[in-house]
Amino acid sequence: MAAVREPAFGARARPDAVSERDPDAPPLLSWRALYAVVIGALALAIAALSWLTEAFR
Amino acid sequence: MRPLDAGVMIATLAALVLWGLWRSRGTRDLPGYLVANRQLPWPVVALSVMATQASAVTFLATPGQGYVGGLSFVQFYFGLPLAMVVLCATLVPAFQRLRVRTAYEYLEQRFDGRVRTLAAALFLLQRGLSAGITLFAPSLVLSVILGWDLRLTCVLLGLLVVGVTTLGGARAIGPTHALQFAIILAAMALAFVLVARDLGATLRPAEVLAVAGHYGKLNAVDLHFDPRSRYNLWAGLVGGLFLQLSYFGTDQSQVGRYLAAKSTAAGRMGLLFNGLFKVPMQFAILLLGVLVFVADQRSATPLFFDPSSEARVVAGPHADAWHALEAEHAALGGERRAALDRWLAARRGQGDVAAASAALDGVRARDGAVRDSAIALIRATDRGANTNDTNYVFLRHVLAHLPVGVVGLVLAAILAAAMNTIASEIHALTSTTVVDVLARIPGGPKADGAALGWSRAASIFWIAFAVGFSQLVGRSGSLVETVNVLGSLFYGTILGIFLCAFLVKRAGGGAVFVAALVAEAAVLACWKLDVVGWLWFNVIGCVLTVGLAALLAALKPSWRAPANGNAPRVA
Repeated sequence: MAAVREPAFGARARPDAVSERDPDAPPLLSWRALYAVVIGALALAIAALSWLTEAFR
Repeated sequence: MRPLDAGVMIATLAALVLWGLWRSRGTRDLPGYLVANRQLPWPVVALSVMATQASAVTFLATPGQGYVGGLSFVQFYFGLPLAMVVLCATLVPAFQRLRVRTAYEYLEQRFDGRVRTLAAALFLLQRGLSAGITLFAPSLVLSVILGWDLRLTCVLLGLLVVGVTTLGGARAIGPTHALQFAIILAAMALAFVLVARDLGATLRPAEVLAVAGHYGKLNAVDLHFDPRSRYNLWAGLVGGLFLQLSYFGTDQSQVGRYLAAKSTAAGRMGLLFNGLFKVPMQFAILLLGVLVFVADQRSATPLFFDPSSEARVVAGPHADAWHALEAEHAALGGERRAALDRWLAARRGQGDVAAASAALDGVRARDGAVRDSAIALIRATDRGANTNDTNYVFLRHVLAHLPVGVVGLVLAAILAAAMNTIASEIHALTSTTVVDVLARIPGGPKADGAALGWSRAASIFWIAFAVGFSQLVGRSGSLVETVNVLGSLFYGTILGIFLCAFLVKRAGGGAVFVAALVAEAAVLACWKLDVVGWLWFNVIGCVLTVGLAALLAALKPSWRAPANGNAPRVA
């Protein structure tokens, strides 16, 4: 079983802190943060397209 | 077709087929054939997922949809990123944990064999018919370009797909998709740049958008809620969410892509990548159609974009009337250019904008009346003729305006997209037929070696089925719409069955089976009676299945799941 990386001294352990060798770990961010990025990008796209619709109506 | 275009097209397609065959070497067992031994990294999964959804219909009919209906179709994709997030949190880890080979295998573990068979049967019916449409779209391209017989072209393209699908299975499909999708994106980007460059020679970007806006083509978001309207924000977010959840969560042609991922993380990343890039990609393709529309306002256009319909009228008793309409349409083209130039000048402060705008609209109305008369002639010549030319718009522009070599590349991209999607569809139909049907009947294939032979036979059967159905597709309207309407007739119910597994813990196989049958009948009734926009079929099928299953489980104790049942945990 892969070892869990210890948090730095004084740092709070993140619940999703996992080993670099964990095959199910997300790259760069936690899964929740990645979900938020995708939903945020959709909101941004809808806002931009709404502007386009209104600006050239 | 010019020799250089033919050379580019044949060389590109030959390279893709050879690459697929080379990647398929060594596929000797069923796990390799069905799920590529679960070894694919996330970038391959991501591109394979995108390539599976982006069929030739996407690249052929979507610019036409933009040309005719503007950007409103982009709202159809708003539910997709949300669906990706929901699936990453629920079904992807569940499927990976249970090591299933098809989505429907999971339903027998949760409910019983009846529910698994029903879901598999609904999928096989829906996807088998859709495969016919995805085969028809690129065949249309070839028949128009090369003057080949449309039916024969469908058969030839079907034979092209046989090689990669039957020999390699998932091991060939995933990596081949990545290369094909890169070529497709490059060709569409090149087409976009060339169309924009041609427009830029005479119009500033703001003027291009102003012209598109004046004709109502930049209608990307409609906030008005109307259940009968096909495309608005609410139908896109809610109906689209249900449709995409069902497509990516329960349609084996997509589930098969991320079941081949080497880990849950690879599957999740593949779907999230799709969630991030799908809306911008579809927007760009629709915008390409809008740009072609703006370009056509300043150039001569055919009276009707489908040359086969035109040829039938010209060969019939209404030829003189058609030629008169063509002359009128050409004259109106000159008036339209002049009116557009006056409108643009007025916007720059050189005239009355309201008067110029009214003149432009007047020319447009007269041209619309001429086109209506042309469509009436097409109907008078052949009562069953296709009077929707959306699918031909982009192709006619590519042939008339793009430089030699690029035309061949765009055609190769459209055909590659067709091969991508058809390969995934046939592979999914094969997997479901072998794993969910054949392997469960007495005397069916059980050992891997025998099942691999049956898989290849099933692939050939489904290609033949798709070729057969493609012969009946010709008279439908926009292909991109037809393929999604067809999916929406079944997706809601299938999604409802899967959601019951997670949400209605008390529901047993009997309750879900009856609920799904009633829901499917209701969806088919809604379609037949035309009471709501088609995106809502997904919501109706899903909500009815889940609601009725919960109700039936409450009313009939024998239809409840056992107390120590096998309801799944959500990761």
